[in-house]
Amino acid sequence: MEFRTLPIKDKELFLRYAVPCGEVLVRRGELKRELLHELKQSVEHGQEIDADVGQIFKVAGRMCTILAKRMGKSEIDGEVIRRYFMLEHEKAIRWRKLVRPDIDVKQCMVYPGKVLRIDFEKALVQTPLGEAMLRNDFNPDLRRGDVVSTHYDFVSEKIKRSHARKMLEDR
Amino acid sequence: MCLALTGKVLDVRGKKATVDMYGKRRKVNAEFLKPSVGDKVMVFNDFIIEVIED
Repeated sequence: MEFRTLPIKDKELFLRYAVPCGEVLVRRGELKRELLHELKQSVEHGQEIDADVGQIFKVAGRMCTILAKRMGKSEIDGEVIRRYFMLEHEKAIRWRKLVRPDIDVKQCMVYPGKVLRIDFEKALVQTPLGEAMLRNDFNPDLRRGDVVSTHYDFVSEKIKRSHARKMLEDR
Repeated sequence: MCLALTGKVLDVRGKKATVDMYGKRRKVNAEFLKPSVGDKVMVFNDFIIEVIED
């Protein structure tokens, strides 16, 4: 019996959260650096994404599938992707650390933040961990004061204040 | 990073399985796959997400 990952409706959104930690997969030999670069470029330039991103980022794709099924959905849409990366992901990472403490939980987590300053392709963001200068490859229209989600050293996307509050409440 | 862990199935009861993971027994959710005792599996957040073929 095979695990069937549901189709991902919003691949760009999925990649905004998956690409930032792709370097870990590259280091583990599970993803080619060239492919990671291509996927990143696709998000940056708003290009169509043909790749099977749910298979490339297999664990995240399968966790989103489980969540989608529990939400009664037949595909992985934006609601599922945000719910996984903004809320469920933290529990999964903490589980991972509990069973095998070989990861840096702080780095793996998705945090909300507020943009303090834009410096060319980087953004200074106030996060619950303090100020961080993060890559802003995905959001060319980012402005001071925007509320964002962050993953590793990237700004993933602009988010609603209500989403940021929910992320903080759940922690 | 969503990195799964491997384990070996010790017991399956309905939608639950007991898996040996790094010397510790954990009860995990097996509803999305049908593992058998002795299978090597990938687990994440207490869900079996893959049965690893030998």
